[in-house]
Formats: sequence, C-alpha cells, structure tokens
Amino acid sequence: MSDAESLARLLEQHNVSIALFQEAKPEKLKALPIKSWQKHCEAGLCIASKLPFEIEMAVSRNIFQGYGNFAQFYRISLADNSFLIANVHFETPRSALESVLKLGPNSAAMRILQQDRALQATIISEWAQAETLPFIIAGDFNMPVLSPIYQQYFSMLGNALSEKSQHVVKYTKFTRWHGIRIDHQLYRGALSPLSAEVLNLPGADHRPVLVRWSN
Amino acid sequence: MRYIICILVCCSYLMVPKVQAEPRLWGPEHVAGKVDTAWYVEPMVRYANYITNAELLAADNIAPDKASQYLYDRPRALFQLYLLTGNKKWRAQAINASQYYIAHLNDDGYFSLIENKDIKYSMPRGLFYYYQLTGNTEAKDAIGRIYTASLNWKPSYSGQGFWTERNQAAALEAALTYYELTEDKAAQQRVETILAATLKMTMQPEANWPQRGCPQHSFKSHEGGADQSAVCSPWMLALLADPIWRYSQITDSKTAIQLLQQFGRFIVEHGTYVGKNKFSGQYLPKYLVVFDNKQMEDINPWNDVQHSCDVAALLGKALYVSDTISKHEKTVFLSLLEPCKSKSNKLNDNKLYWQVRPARKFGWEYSTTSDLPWLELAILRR
Repeated sequence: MSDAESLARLLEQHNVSIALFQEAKPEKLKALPIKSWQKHCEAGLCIASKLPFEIEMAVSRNIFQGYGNFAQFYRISLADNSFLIANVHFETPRSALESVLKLGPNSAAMRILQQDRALQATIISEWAQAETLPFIIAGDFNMPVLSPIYQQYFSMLGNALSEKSQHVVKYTKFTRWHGIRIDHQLYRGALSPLSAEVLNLPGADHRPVLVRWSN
Repeated sequence: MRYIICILVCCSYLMVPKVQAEPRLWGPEHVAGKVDTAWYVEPMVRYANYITNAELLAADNIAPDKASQYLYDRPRALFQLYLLTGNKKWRAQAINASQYYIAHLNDDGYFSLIENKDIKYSMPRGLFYYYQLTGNTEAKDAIGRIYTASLNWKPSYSGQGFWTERNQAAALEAALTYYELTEDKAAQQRVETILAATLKMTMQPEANWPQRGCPQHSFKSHEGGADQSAVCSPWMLALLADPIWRYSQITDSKTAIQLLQQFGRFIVEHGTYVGKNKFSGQYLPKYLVVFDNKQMEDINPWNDVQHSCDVAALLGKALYVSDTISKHEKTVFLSLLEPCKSKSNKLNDNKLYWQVRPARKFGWEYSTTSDLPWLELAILRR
C-alpha cells in the first residue's frame, strides 16, 4: 500500500473531517485518493476538508528571512455558525539544539532563532486574543507544553491532547535521541474536545494527532 | 445543531522523500557536530571577501561583464558559505550574485555574457538555494529555462563530436535541480538517461578502450585536434561527480553509487601522480589524463595543485560510498586534501581578503567541496 493510500485509509478509518498538513507538497496532497474533499495548499501548509472552508489569510516566514508560511488561517462553515482554524508550523529549534549538543553553542544563532520563535508565537497569540469566533490552533508547534514560549503565549488556551488523551505517553515526534510532544491542537470558544490521541502511521518522524471536537 | 468534527494534524507526511524542503548542507548523522570546518571556512571567507568586492576586482582588471569569472556557480559557493557560517553577509552576497546571474540569463536559458550558447555556463544549484531560502519566483523560472536549454546537450557518446565531463555535469545538474524543484518525472528520466550514458562510457568504452573507471572519450572530442587517444579529466570529473553524489543521497541510486566508485578508482589508478622537488611525495591531480599517449599530458604541478581540493572532494565522495577503503586510497585522498587544509596556516597574516586567480577558481574550489571537512573525518575513521 502506498503512503498516500495508507493516509487515505487512516482518514476513512477515523472518520476524519479535516486534515491539516505541515511541511507538505501540493502535488502530494493532490495525489491523495480523497477526490470529493476540498483541498488547499500554500507554501508548505495544506488542508483537506469534508466541510466547506474559506481561506482567511496566511503569515509568511519572509519576515524572518525564511521560506514558506508558518501560519494559514481557514474559516470552516457549519450550517448555523462557523469557526476558525489556524494551521501552524513554528520554527524548529533544531539548529540551536544541535549547537548545544555539539558542546559549542552558537549563542548568536540561538538568540536569533529564539527571537524568531517568540515573534511567531506573539503573532499567533495576538491573533487569538483579538479573535471573537471560536478557533482551533493546530499543527507542529516545535515546542512542548513546558517550554517557556508555550507557557508565555499559549498556556491560556485549552490543549486537547493534554486534557483528553487516554494515554500517558503522548509523544508526537520521535528522533534518534528523544521523544517529545510538540504537535498540538489548542482551542478557545464553543468547541470542546471529546477525545484526543496520537496515531501510529509510518512514513514520517512526526505522528498524527487526532482530536474529536464537539460544538 | 451539534456536530462531531474530527481534526487530524499531520506533519511531514506529504513531503517528498529525502528531497530537502529547505537548503541544508548534507552530512551523515554520525559525524554531525564533530567536524572541524575552520580550516575550510576561514580561507574561504578571505577569498569571498575578494570575489564579492567590485573595487578589488576592478583593480585587477576583472570587469563585471567578464563571463568566465562566474563559471562553476559562484552563487552556490556563496550560499554554502552562508550555510556553513550563518553569517547573513554571505546570504546577501549570494543573493546579489544570484540576481546578477538571473539578470544575464536569456529567455532561452543561456548566459548572455558570452556569444555562444554554452551549457557550461548553466549553473542552477545556487539559484535553487536562492529559491529555497526566499521563495523568489525569478529563480524558479530561471531554473526551468536552464533545464530546457540543457536538453540540447546529448549525453551519449559515440566516439565522435565534442564531449566533456564538464558539459555532462552541467546537463546533469540542470536536470537534477529541476527535478528537486518540481519532482518532474521527465526531469528525473533525463537524470537517469545521463547517468546511463555516463555508465556506458565508463563500463563499455568506445573503440575497445579498456575500462579505466571514467567516461572515456577521445582527445579530439575533448580538446580538438587530431589525436584519437582516450582521455578523462579528473577536475571535470569532480564537477560531474557532484550531482551524481547528490542524486545518490536523494534516491540511493545504484547507478550513481557505481559511478562514484568507478570515478574513485580512476583518480587513484590514473588521475594522480607523485610530485617532485617542492612537491616531493605529494599526490597531485593530472589536468587531463591521456591514456596511451603520455606525451599529450601537460604535467605541471604548479597548475595541477590548483585542482587538488575539488579532486579530493571527488575521491572523498567515492571512498565514502565504497565498501572498503585501502591504505593507499586513503593516502591519496589525504595527500590531495593537504593543499586545501594548509591554506589555513596562512590565516595569521591578518589580511581581510586573499586574491583568487583566476577569479573563476573560487567557483571550482568551493562549489563542489563543502563536504570535505566531514568527509575527511569519516574516511579517517574507516
């Protein structure tokens, strides 16, 4: 079974309504055998949805002299109301971590990277504070719940995986030296999580995070 | 109305396997963080300070429109310097160089500073870094034009006509870069076609020439004139080996790995010689190996040492993908590497820049060699 078929099967098995992708290629999304779904891809962030949606806006990494978008916002329409989704992919701290592991930390690079990550978090956090509609912020945050940036900018929001997971071990990314939970689905407003789990799907170093929501 | 909505977050599932979304210099995990790059980077910075200073170049009568200085992908070398150092000065300089190159790329994909439609001026790798870092669509379009132009090059060799490893390298780099950019299946097929043609020249040479580990062609095809002796150029083979190396990283192509291993064999058995006098005991790359007619070889250690770094990088890549490395192969590699490493001995002159002559040497010395620091460590450990 191809990766695309495996992913499509997983979407069907779990009755997924909306799938959000980070570090994604549009041609790969097109290749998914889910023809009737509405799809959109831009600069690394993609969505496939059974529910109708509109594109709200995107925030580019250009401001950090990087490539691609780190946030894409969608408005999901239900019969009698709507809610917003922010699909996010924050800067990875990988180079700074590697710098530390090499016992030769490049403090200037680390400082810049932390500033970029904090700025990205600020942008999303301020959007959240100003938004009046219910929303979900979901994606690869590249930070665990206990990280200072998460605590400063996102701890006031609900975290579906923290609140509703049945399992103690909730790693969403595995590397050769650690497991860590850095993919999240955060929320505020009328939507509430019923259940949350980390799925097992080969083919990437991250694992899919599935949350069942109720309005 | 109450809804149950299942939302799935999937990071990294719709990527292209092994094709990088962001520019990063390649290196295996087992040497990451343990490599001394200073000997490579610090001299490169001195040279880059010269090559990016228009006033210094003008003082040496190198005008901006002198085409040959741009050979061997100056933008690529500068982007790699940025990736090695993290210094945004080099990012800016690489972008300047990329924009200059794009501004002088005709609609038909050929470089406009020369009259001929010459494929060796096709240099898409630096533009690919530019696109990856900035999303600049002009760079993306330029890579597409370069690829289209490169299709005019016929990679197969039938014993006649002009053929060099350098042009083969340019065509392969164009196809590979376009494939990495777009995943275009025709571009990947073009890559495979070029590899197959190169393998045929290497394993089933024309004119009953024996196998010598390189894509043999005639002196006449390479240099003109009448001599029909088989030749191979070690330094041009270094250019050709680089996209083959890259393709092997992306696809684990057995053909690519076989070619690299063969090229390594050629360098050790035919492509190098031991110097005398000032170069006593030192292995040097030949400029052009002329099999069976050594009188046609122009052995000059002062010139030949200028290609020691790029040929060392070729041999390093070949040894890295080989199952075993002999003591002699390791000796040749380390000897070729020595002139690159010893540049750093002069760093205490406290000069801000070092001249590069000819100016295009900056490209040939640094565009295909960024793996050298970790290759040295990896090979020493074998």
